[in-house]
Amino acid sequence: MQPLVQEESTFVQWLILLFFMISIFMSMFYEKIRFSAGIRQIKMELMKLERLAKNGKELVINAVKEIGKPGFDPSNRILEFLEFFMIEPVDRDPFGIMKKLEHLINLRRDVFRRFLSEVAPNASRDERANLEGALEATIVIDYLFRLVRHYLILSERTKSYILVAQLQLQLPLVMRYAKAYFEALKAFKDGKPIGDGIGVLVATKFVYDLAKDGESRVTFKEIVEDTLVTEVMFEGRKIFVVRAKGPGAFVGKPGDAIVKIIEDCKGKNDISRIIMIDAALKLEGERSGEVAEGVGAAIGGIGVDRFKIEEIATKYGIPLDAIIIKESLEEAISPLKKEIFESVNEVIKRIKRIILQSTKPGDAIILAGIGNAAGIGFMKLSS
Amino acid sequence: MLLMLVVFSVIIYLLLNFVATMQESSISLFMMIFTILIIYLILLPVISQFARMYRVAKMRQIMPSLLSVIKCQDCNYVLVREFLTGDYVFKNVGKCYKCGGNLYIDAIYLTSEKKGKGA
Repeated sequence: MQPLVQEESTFVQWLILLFFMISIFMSMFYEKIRFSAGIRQIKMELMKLERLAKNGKELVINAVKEIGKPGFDPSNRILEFLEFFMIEPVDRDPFGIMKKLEHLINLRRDVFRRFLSEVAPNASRDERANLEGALEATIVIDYLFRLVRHYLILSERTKSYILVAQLQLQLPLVMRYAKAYFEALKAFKDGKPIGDGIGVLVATKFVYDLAKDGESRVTFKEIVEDTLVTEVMFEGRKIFVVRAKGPGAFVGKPGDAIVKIIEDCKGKNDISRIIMIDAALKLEGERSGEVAEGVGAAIGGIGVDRFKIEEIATKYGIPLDAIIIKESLEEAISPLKKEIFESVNEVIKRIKRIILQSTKPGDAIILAGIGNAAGIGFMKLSS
Repeated sequence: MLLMLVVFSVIIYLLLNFVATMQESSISLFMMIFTILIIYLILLPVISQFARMYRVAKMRQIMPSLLSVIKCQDCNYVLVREFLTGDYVFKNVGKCYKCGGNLYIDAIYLTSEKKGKGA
């Protein structure tokens, strides 16, 4: 083998020198390069978020104008309202915190409803509930946009690579949530059923299935605000079915309804079991629409209803059964997917099995379908 | 990172030393492989762009559509149509043309079906 001429060896030496220079340059400026690249990526995502927030605001304003038909331009009032907030009660002294929370939640809901009756005076009760859902989704998207913008500006001002890296890591999740809330906004605006409403759908289908079998008569009564109850008979057992009022985007007050039913039945026909159906967050890798059984109060939210149900169940020693339908956060607030809908029959089968195995004829049971009743109404049937 | 660059530089140094000891025919083979590699690296963004466009086109084929399933209370009549604003589950939507029973919306759900296949 004959070695190459001397000039080419010099070329090789230059190349090696160049590589060393690059490595020294990278070791000195790596962080700054990553910082600028991170900032650029965050800015691009922020632009997408801003577009989502802007489109969301436009959708809500147009929906309020179309449905509510106000005699004035509500745009400015709606834009002002997007920064509405609720300060959670102090929890250093947790005694009585649930009552304070409930008071604040009721107050918040009243302010929302008062605002909507002002900007959408001609909307029906269900339409206002849908607008309320759409407005809540817009508030979330707008907040996410302002939050990311805050951290971007803060990182630029402090030149902190750590802040940029943290924001960059969390951004894919933030974008997923923002897109999901945008889908929720559109669903609420058009009154479409969402994944979270699967509990309400199961409870209502359970009632109509029994009505079809000729076992009972169906009339829903609003026993507490935005919450409906009906009584059906199944294999000699009396079943009180609780659900949120629909087809507006109501979640109702299932806690109050269950407490009222138990107190009203006390001494006459004691409740022997409470069965709760709700959508629950799945872990990545699990199938959407998978059904699981457990014990406890299957109800999400801030915890007021769960607290009430647990309190009353413990007071009277009533067993609590929970059936959950697994779905992701995006699926819970987006239009109901077919694979989640298909779990309805499986859940009804399990409810019937629990009732037959754990109770005896003559018992009274509460079946509570928990969730948002957007796009899920009810019929008056008599057999 | 720095360690990786040093290791990388050493590998390049060894590689170039190896090239320096090669015969001319071997150098031309090496240069050909090197040229192919450079062309591939230049074409990579173009290829990835085409791949992305193909993926987007494929995703567009699978358009999710929101469907309303209408059933008759008395007979087995079932009608599946696109969701219309104002639809909700358990809404009465008229009389059955088969038996005169009540038609109601039994379900509203999102499906992901290929375009052109229909519901």
